[in-house]
Amino acid sequence: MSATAHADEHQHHRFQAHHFETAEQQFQAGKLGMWLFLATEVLFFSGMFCAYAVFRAAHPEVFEKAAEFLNPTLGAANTLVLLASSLSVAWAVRCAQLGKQSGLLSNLIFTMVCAGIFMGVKAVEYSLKWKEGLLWRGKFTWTDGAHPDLTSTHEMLYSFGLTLAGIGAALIVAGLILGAKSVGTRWAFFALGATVLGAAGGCLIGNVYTAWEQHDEQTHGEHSEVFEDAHALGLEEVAEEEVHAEEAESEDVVEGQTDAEAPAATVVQEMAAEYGGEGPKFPGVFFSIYYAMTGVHAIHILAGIGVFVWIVSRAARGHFEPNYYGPVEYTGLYWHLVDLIWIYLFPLLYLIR
Amino acid sequence: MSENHHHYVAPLPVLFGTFACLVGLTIITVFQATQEYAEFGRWETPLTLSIATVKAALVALFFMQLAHDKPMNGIILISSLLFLALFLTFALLDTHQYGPQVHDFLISNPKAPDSP
Repeated sequence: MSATAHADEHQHHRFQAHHFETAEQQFQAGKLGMWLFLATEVLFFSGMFCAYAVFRAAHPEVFEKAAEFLNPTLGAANTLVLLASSLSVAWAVRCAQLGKQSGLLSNLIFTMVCAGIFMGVKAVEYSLKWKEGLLWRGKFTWTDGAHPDLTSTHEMLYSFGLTLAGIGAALIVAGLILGAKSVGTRWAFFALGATVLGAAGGCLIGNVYTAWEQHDEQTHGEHSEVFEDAHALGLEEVAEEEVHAEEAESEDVVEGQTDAEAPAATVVQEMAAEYGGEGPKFPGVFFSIYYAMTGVHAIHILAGIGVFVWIVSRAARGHFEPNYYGPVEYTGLYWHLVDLIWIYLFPLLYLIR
Repeated sequence: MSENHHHYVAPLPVLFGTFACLVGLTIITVFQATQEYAEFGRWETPLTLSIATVKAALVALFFMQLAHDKPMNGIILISSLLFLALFLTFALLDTHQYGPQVHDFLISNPKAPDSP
């Protein structure tokens, strides 16, 4: 801290860069940099929040109907999982500040298990929506009354979850073998294995829950009337005129694809009244926004998992101590921001009534 | 000996208390949205967003430790939120302004399914 401490080169912490006067200066500079990055992240997501706000302001009824296809229970479960992971990250920072090595490692591993569970549940949600045709606008093929048979998807998710469990176990065994001599390598594999095991758990539990819920719902027949007006017309094959930004990179739009029979003028008028003349695929706009926002959020989770593998590896090598724990705190800040974004995404997408 | 003796170390009761509040608010907002007998009509969205904002503030103040941090870090976050608000406000004002014209255009020129 003092000038004399700096004059003595040997006082420097081994991870203090030469261009910093003190470890404290390095820590605060790193944190400032992280906060600036988080500000750019807020602005990055603001584009998608803006798209959401504009489309919802223009077509509130579409959002209300479409949101009924999202499962609030799965969303709430994922919210709780992310909140728990935020708690454990904050606790991990505390452990690093107090020099508690085992607490640091176990909290970080718990965080990664939570990240895995989140991704597993997301995989269940995406897979079921894919099967049902609840996709972005260009691929929106949901038809009312069709009741797509989801059994094959549930079976696929079941084997996918078991495969993930196998991969997770294999990663832990690989860590024991490949990391026999290096504690950092060993724990990096453990962390990755724990994440994949968490994903397996999230996938299997989410799959069992949705299968049970679907079985429960079949007697009640929910969702049967939604979008009826658009799809009773039998106009699934509609040429798209516009490509929305969200689907631009993944979607080949067939221009000028036509159906033989021209609909009656009254039908067109009805459709126009229902979705403001935007065509029967228009509810897909909600799902365009849904996939863009949750997808980019999920990419942030994956990036966080990648960084946490590095943090766990360094923590296992004993790099972090009360004098030097910046990377744990910076990664934690990033993780909290990802949690913050989900705190807004959850009510905006899942809880529209 | 330690250079970080002035760094704030969050006590465990604070961390767990924050977590309990976050879980409680999540339960409230899900309950409010899924039950039938307490409807707030057009105020539902502002209400759920207010709950989300309280949750976000809890995370920022106690998990991200802005409550005990240098003010500059909080200022950076708040300025990004101000720009977010500016962006949303102008976009929505614009949408609102031109909404009726767009609506009239779409009604008079509906996209027939067989038109390009």
